[in-house]
Amino acid sequence: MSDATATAAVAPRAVARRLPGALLLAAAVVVLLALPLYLEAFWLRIGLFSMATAVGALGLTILFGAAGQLSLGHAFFVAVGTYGYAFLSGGDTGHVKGLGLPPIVAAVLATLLAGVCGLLFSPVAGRLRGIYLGIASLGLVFLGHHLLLNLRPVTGGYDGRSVTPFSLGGFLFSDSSDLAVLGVPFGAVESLWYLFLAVTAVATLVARNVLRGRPGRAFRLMRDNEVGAAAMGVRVQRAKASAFVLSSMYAGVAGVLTALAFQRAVPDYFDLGLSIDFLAMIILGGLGSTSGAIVGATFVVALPIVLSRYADALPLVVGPGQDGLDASIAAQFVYGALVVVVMLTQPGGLRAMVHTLRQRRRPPYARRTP
Amino acid sequence: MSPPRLAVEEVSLAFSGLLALDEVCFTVEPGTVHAVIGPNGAGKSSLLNTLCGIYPVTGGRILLDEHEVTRLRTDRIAALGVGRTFQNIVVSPQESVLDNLMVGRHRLTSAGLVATALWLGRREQRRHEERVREIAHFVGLSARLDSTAGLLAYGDLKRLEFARALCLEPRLLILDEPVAGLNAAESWELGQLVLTARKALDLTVVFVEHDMGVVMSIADRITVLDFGRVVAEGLPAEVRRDPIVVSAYLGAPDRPEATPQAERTPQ
Amino acid sequence: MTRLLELLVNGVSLGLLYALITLGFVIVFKATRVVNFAHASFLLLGVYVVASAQPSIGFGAAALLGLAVAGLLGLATERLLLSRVDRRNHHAMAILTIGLNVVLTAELTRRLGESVLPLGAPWDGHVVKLGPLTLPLTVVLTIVAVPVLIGGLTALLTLTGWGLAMRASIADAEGAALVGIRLRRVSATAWVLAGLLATAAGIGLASFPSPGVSLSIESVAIAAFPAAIIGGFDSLGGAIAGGLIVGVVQVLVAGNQDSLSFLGLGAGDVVAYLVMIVVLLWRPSGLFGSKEFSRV
Repeated sequence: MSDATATAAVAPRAVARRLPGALLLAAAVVVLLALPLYLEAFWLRIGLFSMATAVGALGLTILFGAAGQLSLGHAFFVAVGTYGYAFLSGGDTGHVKGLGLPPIVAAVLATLLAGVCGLLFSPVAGRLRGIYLGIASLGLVFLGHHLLLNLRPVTGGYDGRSVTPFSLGGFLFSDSSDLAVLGVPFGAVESLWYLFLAVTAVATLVARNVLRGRPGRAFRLMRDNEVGAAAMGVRVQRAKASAFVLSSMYAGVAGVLTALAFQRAVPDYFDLGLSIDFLAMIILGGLGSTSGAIVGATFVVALPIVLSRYADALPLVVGPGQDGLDASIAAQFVYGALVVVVMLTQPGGLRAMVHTLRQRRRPPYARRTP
Repeated sequence: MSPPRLAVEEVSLAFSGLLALDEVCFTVEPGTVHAVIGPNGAGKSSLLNTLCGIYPVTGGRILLDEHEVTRLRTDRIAALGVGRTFQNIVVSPQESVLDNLMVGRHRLTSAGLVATALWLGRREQRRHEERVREIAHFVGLSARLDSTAGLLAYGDLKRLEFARALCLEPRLLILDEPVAGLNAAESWELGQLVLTARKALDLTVVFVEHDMGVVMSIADRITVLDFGRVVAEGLPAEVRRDPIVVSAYLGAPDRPEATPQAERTPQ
Repeated sequence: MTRLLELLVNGVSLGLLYALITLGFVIVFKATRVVNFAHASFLLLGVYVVASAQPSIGFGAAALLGLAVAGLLGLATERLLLSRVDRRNHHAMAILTIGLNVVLTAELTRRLGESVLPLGAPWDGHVVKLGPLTLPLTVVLTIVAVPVLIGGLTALLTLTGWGLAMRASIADAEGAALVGIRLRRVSATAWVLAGLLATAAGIGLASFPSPGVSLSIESVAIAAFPAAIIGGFDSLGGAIAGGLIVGVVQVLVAGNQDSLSFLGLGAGDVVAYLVMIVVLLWRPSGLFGSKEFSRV
């Protein structure tokens, strides 16, 4: 077969392959938009946390999945976003200070602040390779936690500080809004749902552009072979640093969303466990894939909450405070074990499994010739 | 642009005291195909790696035309139009062939993180994709552009690396054992591709190769390395007859085995 | 002056314990190229076994049991899990240990919760007076025992066949396999050693003046990670130096809390990470680490 006919034969098939995907996506969008009208607040809240976390996971999948740079400091940058937003948008209450900026300005500045923190760490992040960066970035979580406890005027110390609700163009994303759609009152959860959906969508598209474009390709060759990437003209140290800064900004956005979803910022949330959660999300979903990061984030976030809610109906698991296997610990068992299993069976995660299946469905000429 | 002259002047390279290259001198004339041969451990790959700035030289100078590239970073040297392939294939195995080739356009494109994020890199990408498809067609990879690189047959991987080096639009092309592991027909074919590319793209080519058939048929000049030193240089016909080369390269029975350690790098 | 001296001695003692933890971590890394993120939970598990067994079988037997369990855990990790992953996929192996760490920590959290189990060591609660210095007996014993342990380990590495095999397989794994060194045995031994060293250090960390075994021991043990980075990650001497630096700096900062109040409360717990970042800015491969060359 000549090259030209082969190319021509692929094109209509590619369209046919993409069409069901597009329909599926459209259906998913409609469902996601309609959900607040039907679901109770419990499920919507899980959705909010999932979306907030998914944005953070997207950042980590760019950094680790594509660029191969492990970070266990992700929780630190999420904290910068959360506290940055709380401080910039908050007012002075007692000993806790705030700048009282409009929430949208505060959110943007908090994201930039996380990026700046990433930039400050980039002399370290740019020079270390893979796993070494993982251990070095551990330090950020501990240093960050220390700062959260000690910078009381900004962070409120151990008890944390409350978070100003989001507002945009006079519309307040809180329960005090008296808007109702089709008889459903639009409180904080319902209105935040749409805000989060929009932010997550933009974050996903941006991540996709980056991963599919010039920087993403450079990151992946750098991950697979640093010297090879340099020989193609990639400035390795700079590429590592910029992947780190970008992922910090994603973490910053995740932090702002987390602040809005929790409506409070407390230091103990931003511990090493959170960093490891992020890592587990992108590994379960499949490294370097945007959809994998979102699926993984939803799974890791929802699992403990759902287990806890249905504790009575489940064997072994009990709700908080009762005698037995606590739901949050049960969730840790499940996803810790899943990480081990994924590494043992399919180190590419979910995405690799799907990919292997797709390869099998490809026309024979695209396959390996024996 | 005319092809560059490469001058290697008394280049030495030491790994923790072990001399891998010892005052190596040779010149590659513009537009020629220059082979570097020698037994295992003679320092051939180390030499190519110093040309690309991967190993920092311990002495001497490397000149690309009038530019001294001796202590430049690898990516800066690539930016001067030096493309290369690797002895042990270096590709992103999970990416498509097209994506692997597009990495070769890195130095020629400019869309950074922000531009790419804001959909601004697409036009540039499409423009360069056209050229990449041409190059893929030239090396015979058109039908494989969408397959995953890791699933390619070995011969296709070798061609992928060669094509990616061409995607850099290099002026100097460095090939590290381009036909190693290929059968005779594939080797001949790739050899011819090198000659065609040299002519069509105005390249200067330096390559390391063990396959004497390919070396003799495509090289304009040959430099012979042994134990990190240049032991002979000349036209293929001259080198083939040189007694020192015959004993060093083919390994006369009375000569001790070349130490493979010399080419190893410390961990 | 006396106080400073006391702090220094305490710091050296803590540093020696860190050195033990870091050594186990570095030995595993050198022998198998695996970064063991579960190392701190190995330590907590070992010392948890000691504390929960000692009321019924006595401290001595419990200590042996704890060492055995941690050693077996190391062996099981290598044999049952890591040996099934592609040897060259260091990322996958490191992530696997992260998953293992999540599971182990969840189990230990379930068992320990907020409680503090007394270790019941015979030296608990005793202090000794050495000239002007008043020191916990634990500190004195650590300063005597750990160097002996490290000496024994050095002898093991330099004099025995295992040590030779390990050093050979570090230098060149394929070459070592070709001359008949069984890589699996080398890595299994390294993992067992890591479990043993971690538990030994854990016994020191949970001894007086520490109140006993609790979850916080694990976060103390995590400071061995920066110690490993400071030392250079792949150097045994560096591991010891890194451990000592972290221990001494931690104790000095915690002991001078009042004059260092600008660093905030509890600065002693995080200063190790600050030192690590400073060292990394100065020397990206640590104080004694080898600069990695990638061969193409």
